[in-house]
Amino acid sequence: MQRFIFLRAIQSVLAILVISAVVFALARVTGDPVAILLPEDASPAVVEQVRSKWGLDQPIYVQYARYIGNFVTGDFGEAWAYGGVPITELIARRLPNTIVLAGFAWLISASIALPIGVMVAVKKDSAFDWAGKVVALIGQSAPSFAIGLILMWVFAVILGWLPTSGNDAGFKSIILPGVALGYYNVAAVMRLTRSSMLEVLDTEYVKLARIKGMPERKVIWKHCFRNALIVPFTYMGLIGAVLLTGSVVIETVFVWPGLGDLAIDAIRNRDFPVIQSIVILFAAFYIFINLAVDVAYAYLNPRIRY
Amino acid sequence: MSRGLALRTGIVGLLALAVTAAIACGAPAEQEPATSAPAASQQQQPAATQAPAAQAPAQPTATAPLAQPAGMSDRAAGGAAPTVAPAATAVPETTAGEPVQADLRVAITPPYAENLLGWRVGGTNQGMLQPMQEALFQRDYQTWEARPMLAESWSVSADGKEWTIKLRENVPFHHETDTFGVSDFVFSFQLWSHPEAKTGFGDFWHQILGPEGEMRSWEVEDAGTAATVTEVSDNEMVWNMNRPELWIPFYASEATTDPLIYSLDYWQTNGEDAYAANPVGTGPWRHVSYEQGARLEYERAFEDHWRINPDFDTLTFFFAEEDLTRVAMLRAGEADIAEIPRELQGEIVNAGYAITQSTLPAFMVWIGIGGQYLEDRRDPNDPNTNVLVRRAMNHAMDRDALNEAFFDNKMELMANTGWHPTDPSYDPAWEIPAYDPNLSRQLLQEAGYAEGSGPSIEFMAGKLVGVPELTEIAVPMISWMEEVGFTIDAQIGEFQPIRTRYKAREMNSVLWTHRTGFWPAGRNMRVYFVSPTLAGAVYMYEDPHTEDLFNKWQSSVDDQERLNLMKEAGQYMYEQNATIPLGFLFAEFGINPNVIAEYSVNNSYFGGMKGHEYTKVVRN
Repeated sequence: MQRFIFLRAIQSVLAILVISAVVFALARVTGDPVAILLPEDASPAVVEQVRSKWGLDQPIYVQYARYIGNFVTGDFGEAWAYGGVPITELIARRLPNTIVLAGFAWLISASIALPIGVMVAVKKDSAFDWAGKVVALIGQSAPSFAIGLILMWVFAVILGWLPTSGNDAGFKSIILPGVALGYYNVAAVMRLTRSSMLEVLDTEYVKLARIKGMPERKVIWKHCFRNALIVPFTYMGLIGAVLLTGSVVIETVFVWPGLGDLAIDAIRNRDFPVIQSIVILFAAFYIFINLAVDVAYAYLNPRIRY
Repeated sequence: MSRGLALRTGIVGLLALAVTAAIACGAPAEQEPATSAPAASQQQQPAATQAPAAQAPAQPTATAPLAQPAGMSDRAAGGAAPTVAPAATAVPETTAGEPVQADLRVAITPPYAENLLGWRVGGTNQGMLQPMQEALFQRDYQTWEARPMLAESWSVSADGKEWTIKLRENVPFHHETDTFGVSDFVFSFQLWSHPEAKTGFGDFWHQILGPEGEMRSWEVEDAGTAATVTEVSDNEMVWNMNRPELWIPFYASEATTDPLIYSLDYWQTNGEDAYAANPVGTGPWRHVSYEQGARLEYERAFEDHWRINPDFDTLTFFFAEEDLTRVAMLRAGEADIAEIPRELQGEIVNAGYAITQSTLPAFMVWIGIGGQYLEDRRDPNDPNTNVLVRRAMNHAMDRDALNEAFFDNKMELMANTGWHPTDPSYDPAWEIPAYDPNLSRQLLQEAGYAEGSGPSIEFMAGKLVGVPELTEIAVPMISWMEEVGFTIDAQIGEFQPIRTRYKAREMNSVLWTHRTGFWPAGRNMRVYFVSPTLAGAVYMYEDPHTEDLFNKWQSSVDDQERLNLMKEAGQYMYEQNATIPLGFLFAEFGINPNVIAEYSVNNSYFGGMKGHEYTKVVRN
């Protein structure tokens, strides 16, 4: 296991390096950030001055080497569009909001998908099963921003129960963006739970438990559900990473000041250092959570050996 | 378990059905203002026919032709500036009765770069700081005349190089241990022209007041003192400028982007980081809190501000990028004023809200004809350099159809890009180019193109804040041009590639959609229609004749001569069909008439961030 973790850690570092190079190159393909970040009436002298200050007058490999050199020492550089604010400060300000939103969305996904997945398995081929499939289909096919806008319209504008946007109304603020973000994953988790449950429900020990007169509730929730949880649990680990990195649009729609919102601004402004830092951070999240899930999976399922 | 499950399933199903029905049937329980929207002067009328509110709701400004803004003239814009200053912008009279609300909440599109030190981000990003910081001068919201703000009176020498400015006395900064004085101005100008500043006029300030040599600002000077500024007293200074400049009351006014006043004392006592975290100014609003990317909150700064006491106790900007989010915020009662795109305004009005307009046009919209460069970048084979081709382009456009289809006929059509009819150098004889496809075809033939084989042109269109229609209007225009024989390579999308290319002067054989704020012709000339040699910025039109005229205009200190030079430049560009002029647009906002009695200022450049100290609350 230790060897496995060591190898995966090496692979992770390599993956992050490759990602950083790709992002570094792709960001620069989009054009000259100075043209966007300086006012329209800035003179050529000012443009050159800023280009020199940001190192954009250097060859691209020099820029990359300098960036990576600083990055490994924890210096992500300065945000060009934000007037030279250190990027670590920007990220530190925004990251907690993204973690809270992703965490809540994860809970929403789990709390909706797991019980419904169990119930549609128990009521296989019934109207309930059919309704569950519809719920899943909507979740998978409707874009999360559309779901978000519909929720906003119904629960904030029509009913007035929740705020439309922002993060200044306490727990109420997080409900709509959390549901909109989490709903997309409900379908996949629900389907996985359903199939896993059906498999377990068909096993001999479950039949034996029923024959011995064990209450149905106990059969399902104590014996079936716990055993059926391994596959959806693995998937939900990955969802955690997806939610953390996939909140870009939802944060924009709901004015949620997280990393996704910052990423959109950075892309619009061609703020290369911020784009690079966020993408690398997102990649690191994803890789770390993948690794953690793999390790956890090995512990949860004794048949798995690395 | 199965019965309980079925019961819960039923409840969930019913809830889902109810929500679906609510969406399908509209909004029966939707919050609407108790009073109807104003009926007056609005093209999109509310459907409801309720009685008018007891308190007069906001009256949207009509789009009727404006009175001549004297401030557009050189003289009133600071040409030979008045020695006796006019009065400051009038303070609205207090309305009797209790305000219905203490908090003013404004939902706006966020600045593209946020920083509470405006000089570090420059441009329109500084709009969100205008409630807190003031400038030396103000432009009248109705007439565009120069008004005193922190400068109380001023005079200029005959050679246009020496300005004597008396500052308003005893104006406190928000930290209340310091009042505004000469050193604060000098420190502020050093910030605007600091090497790390991203201010559009940084070079301008360096040119006229900066030290000699490469380095600017306090790299070679102490903060708060400059060799070019003589401090007569704490409230009077004399500028000995490096070159003549008569438009100081324009360049140093809140109508431009940069010249916000900072406190030297606060900076030296607390440092830059503290200033950035908790900035101060002299404005009627004081900074309270800021959540980057989400909101910025102010409160009323003083019991008795020298200029105006706002009707509201607090002012909060909510930064909402998505149009529908801002609509939802207004309709849910979370915002009292919101930027609403034109295509959604009808819905807002039908729901009982009102649309209010800026007092003056806020945007100028036109098509740039690229490639008209001086010799160094000019391609003689570029069809855009042929005046007959440019005339053909102008007559291929059906401006009335554009106005009707995309702007609800609210656009004031323009005859010559950069010149509004209220500008003193405007010529009323200029005509809006008529839509005449046959004339267009004929002109192309005269230019040497066989019928149906017109020039090949690239047409670029990208969205810009304030006029999102820039991409949409490109579609019919391309089709009209193809109809008369042009071959068009259309590139519609983001504006960034356009900016990158025009900054590099690589717009040969390219047309592109553009917009700017509402500015005097001289400012438009400098930014758009001169080469880099004259500190131009967009290089949309370069011609030795207009370069010469602008150069003379810039160094002249004679009012009449300046006016004549600007008129001549305008006439020449009109005859040359230098651009494809389209029109002027007002800034428009959705407001809740139950809360807002009036919000109508000149929103040019800064949109909904501007002028909220003048926003009036509805009172009981």
